Amino acid sequence: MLRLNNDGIISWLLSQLALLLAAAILIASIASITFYNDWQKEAEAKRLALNLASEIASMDLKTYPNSTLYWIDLKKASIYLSTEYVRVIRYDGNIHKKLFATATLLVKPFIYNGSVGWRNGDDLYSSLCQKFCKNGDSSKMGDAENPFSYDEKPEVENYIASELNRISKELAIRPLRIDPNRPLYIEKAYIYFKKDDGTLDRIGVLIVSQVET
Amino acid sequence: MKFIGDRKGVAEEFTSLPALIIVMIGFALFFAMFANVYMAHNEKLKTAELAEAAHYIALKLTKAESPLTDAPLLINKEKWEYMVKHEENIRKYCKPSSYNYSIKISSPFVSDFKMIGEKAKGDRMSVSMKVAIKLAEGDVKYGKLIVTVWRENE
Repeated sequence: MLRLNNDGIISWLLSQLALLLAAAILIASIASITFYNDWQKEAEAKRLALNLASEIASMDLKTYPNSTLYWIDLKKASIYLSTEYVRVIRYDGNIHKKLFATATLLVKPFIYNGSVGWRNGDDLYSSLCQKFCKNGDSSKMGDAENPFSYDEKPEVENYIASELNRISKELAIRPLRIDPNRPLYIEKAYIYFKKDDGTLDRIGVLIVSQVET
Repeated sequence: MKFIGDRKGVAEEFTSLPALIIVMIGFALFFAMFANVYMAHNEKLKTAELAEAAHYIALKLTKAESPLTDAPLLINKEKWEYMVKHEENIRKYCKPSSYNYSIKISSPFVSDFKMIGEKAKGDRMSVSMKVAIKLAEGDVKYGKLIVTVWRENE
């Protein structure tokens, strides 16, 4: 009766239109959340930041001198590393162009940025020699073959702490920008001190640098 | 097609209203579920970060170079008591930025170990680790090292 009655046609049309509209919004929102949202890209960036941070922390826990190469598997991102944070920025977001992810580092590493810090353990030992070697019989100082004497420990510790302080300040202003095509070199090196009874004491130094070409 | 042409169907034009209601309920449920999953994921991520920090501190403090130990996993009571008074030494050795922590010993054999660090504030995470405790030369008992970690700025 009503279907065939021309009087009711507008109200019928309106409720049909509303239904169509609601369904369209529902389908569009599901599609946008699953396909066009940036949560996946953000999670990828976050994963990279956390992974790098835990890689550095686990290297710090090594009880013997050790090193590893860390390959970055997210090529489209810019990664910034300072002694406190690792920050991943990518520019391919759909809604906001820039996507950020930050992770806190659990340990402050010595990061080589070209002007401060050391590339690796050998670099550290020769730089320690330049600073502390008295006679020129060796080019390295502080490794297991050429340990410091135990009396020098406070002096060396102070030097290491002041270097770390300097690197922290430098990198807080200009974080190291990591090239994703080259691996990161993470090394746990130890500086040795020989006690009077012949046993060795040591302090650990964590070095992070970008491998050159 | 007799029932379409049935002129007795008075309520016919309102059949789309229940459908509309169902669609809207589906819409609301979908968003509620999605928001719930998202929030749970974020919360889990935060907890995981805290757990990782706690685990890191526990491992770091039981290493051979730690100011608390004689050998890996062997805590020296004298050193512990010294650190209770000189807390800054242990912070110098291990202090992840933006995290704070306290450590204590739980053991059925010893009860006079004081906690190092202040009481935890806000969301916290504890990690325990089986350690050996050297009370004196030749007197070693077992116990647990408990590390409680919380975020500093919350």
